[in-house]
This record gives sequence, structure tokens and C-alpha cells, in this order.
Amino acid sequence: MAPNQAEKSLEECSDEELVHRLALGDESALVVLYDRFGRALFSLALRITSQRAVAEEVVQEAFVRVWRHAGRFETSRGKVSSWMMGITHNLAIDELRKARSRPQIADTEIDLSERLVLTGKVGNVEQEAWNRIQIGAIVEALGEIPKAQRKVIEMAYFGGMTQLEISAMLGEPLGTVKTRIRLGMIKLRSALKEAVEIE
Amino acid sequence: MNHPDDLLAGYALGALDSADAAIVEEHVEECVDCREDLAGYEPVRESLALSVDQVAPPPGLRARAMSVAARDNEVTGSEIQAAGRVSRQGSFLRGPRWLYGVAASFGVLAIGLGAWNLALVQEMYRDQDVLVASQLAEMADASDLQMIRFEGVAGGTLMATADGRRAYVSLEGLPALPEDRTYQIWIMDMEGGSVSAGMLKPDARGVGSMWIDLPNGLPNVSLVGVTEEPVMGSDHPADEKLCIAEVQGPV
Repeated sequence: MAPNQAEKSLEECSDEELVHRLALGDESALVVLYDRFGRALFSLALRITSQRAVAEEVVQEAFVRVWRHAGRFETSRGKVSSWMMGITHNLAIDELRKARSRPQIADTEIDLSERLVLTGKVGNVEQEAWNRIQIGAIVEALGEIPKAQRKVIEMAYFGGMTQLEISAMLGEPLGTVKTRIRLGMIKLRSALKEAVEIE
Repeated sequence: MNHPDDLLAGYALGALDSADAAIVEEHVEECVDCREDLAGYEPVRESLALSVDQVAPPPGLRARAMSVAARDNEVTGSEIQAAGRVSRQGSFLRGPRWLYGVAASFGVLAIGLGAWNLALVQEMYRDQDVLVASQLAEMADASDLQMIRFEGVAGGTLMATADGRRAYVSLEGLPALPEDRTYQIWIMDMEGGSVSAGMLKPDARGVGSMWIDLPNGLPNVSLVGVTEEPVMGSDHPADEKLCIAEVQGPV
């Protein structure tokens, strides 16, 4: 560890430095990661599962995975936030798929006063600024792509459905679904890229 | 070289079945262009995740999530020892091979930024060995552990404790299915009713496993059966059962 890192507080550490500390067995780094990303992860899990209790379990399990696999994360090759969001997404989708055949009652007791305005307040200050750009761009782009493309992307990402399942549910040919996903994602990718270049 | 252009975006969203996902993963190992194409979707995926309404998690979740490290350190012995304890039960000699190969290699595919991230998440998520082995090891230590064989076209084992509300289903020899079909697990209760316990997609070897919930506990389970159903699942089981584990026996 570089000398200046030894003097840095955990709060001053980058996300990547925190994961590195986790890999070295520093449990306190997990606390900071939770404070930075816990809300975003819980919000994502809740959006997908619609059940508060299940979303809580998903987040807990996500942190188990982060703790156990911190040593495998290569800080030079990816963003910690993407990694953690990806873990949470996959866990939430798995819960959704398991529950799919059983009658489920969506959690209607979410207190609307707890809903926070989209602030992009995730991670440290720099991350926050970046997130604002991303969120603004993706929300705008989602509103601009054709409804049919947005629908299939949402069914896939938030509904955990495969392209084949989407095809079956919508009664649309599989090729049509694949094309809509592809075209929609290309547009979203392009919109984000433009937003970054402008900033 | 054929490029799976129609699959990359679906892969980025997690919208491919395992066969198509394997095609993409194999291809991007060799193809730089597709690897970069896939990597370009990573910001989209992250942005979608961040675009949801932000809801404050309950205060207690922080402490529970932070206790994971302490709990993890409490798992005695290595996961290899855990797998060893389970294998000595005997019935698992016919179980899936992963149960013994818990300390599998964690090699990360050397692919590019973004695409690597996606692949790591997928690989890690599929890498259930360590976590499941430790969970099964806990169950294996229970004095009232029951292991019941599935009999039929496919085989496998149902593992549960007498007073538990969860069971582990491990199946093998599952025939390959067309894309529009899936396997569904059913719990038949002592009153003759049946409830779906979830859907299962086996791997290319015909092996599949999953935890199922037993809402009323094992004593109230007559049979656990597996059927073939449409891809979205069914409300009621098909008449023909691929295999059955007799728990309390037929009603």
C-alpha cells in the first residue's frame, strides 16, 4: 500500500480502494460501501421484486457476494458501482423468477414519503456528479425511443425475462423482440455517450 | 467469423438463456470488435439501475448487511471440508459434480472493460458452489436431516430437515428442452393440493438444482414432483411427472 493510502480515512478512499481493502480482510470498508451504495442497491432490488422483505434479503446477499469475491475484482478493469449493481440485479431477478409461478402480492406498504427525488446521490461526490449526468441522459433517452423498444428493454432488465419469454408474452416473433432490444439499446448507448462528450 | 450481433444487447440485459449466453461469452473471448461492442452497453445497464426511484432502506438493513463478514468468518473449516461432510452422507455420491469441486478455479476471463464486468457478474452469480456448499453443510449437520431420492425419467435428491421450511432439490438426467418449454417443481400436500415451487432450467449436462420453500413444512408434503411446462410456467402441474420424490407418500 502506498504511504499516503495508509493515512487516508475510509471515507476518502475511492470505491476501488475500498474493494481492495475488503480483499485484504478489512471489514470496515464494507460499511463505507454500504453507505455509498446501499440505497441504490435496495432501490433497484425493490423495483424488481416489488417486495420490501425480498429486497432486503437481496441486498444482504449482495454484500455477502461483494465480501467474498472482493479479491477477484480487478480495480483497473471495471467500475465498482457497475459490479455491485450487476450482482444485485442478478439476485433480484433470480428471486423474481422463483416467485413467478406463485401468487405474489406486491408490497403496497411502501411509504411514499420515503421515496426520494432522483438526486443521483450514490457514491462519493465525483460519482454523484457522474450519476446525475447518466440518469438524466438515460431518462431522456428512454422517453425518446419508441415505446415498443422501451417496453421490451424494461421487461428484460426489470422483469428478468429472456427474449424468448418476452416474445411469448407479447405474442411477437422472437426476431422482432431481438431487433427491438438491439435498436433500443444502441440508442440508449449513443445517448449516454453523447451526454458524456457534452460534459 | 459469425458475429452474434443480435445477441449482444440481450446479453447485456441478462435476457438470454444459458445456451445463447454461452455463445456470446465464447465469441467475445476471440472477437475484439464484439467485446468492445458489448462493453459499450455497460453504462446503459448501470444507468438503468440508477434510474429507479430511490427508496430509503430500513435502518436495520445496514447492520444486517454488515454482519455478513462476521458470519462468513464463522463458517468453520473451508468449503472443501463442508463438501466433504456432505459427500460422506452417501446419497450425494450420485449428486452433481460441483458439490465436490467446491474450491473451483476462479479464473477471470481476460476480456475488456465493461464486457469483463458483465462476464464477472455472470460467472460469479453462476458460481454457487461456495455459498450453496456452506448452506448445505449447515443442513447436513442437522440430526433430523432427510434425503429423499427422485425416481422417474430423471433422478436426483431432495434434502431437507424435518422441521425446516426450505429444501434443496438437486436433479440430474433432465432431458434437454426446446426453448419454449421449462421444468417446474411442484409440492403436493397431504390434502391433495399442489403448489408450484418454482421453475428450473438445467445446464447442458441435464443437471439443475435450486432451493425451494416448504411453506407448511416437510411433514405436510406428500410428494415433490417435476413436470415439463410452457416456458412461462403453469398454474397446475401436467399429468405426467418427469420424476417424483415421495416424502410422506401418496395421499
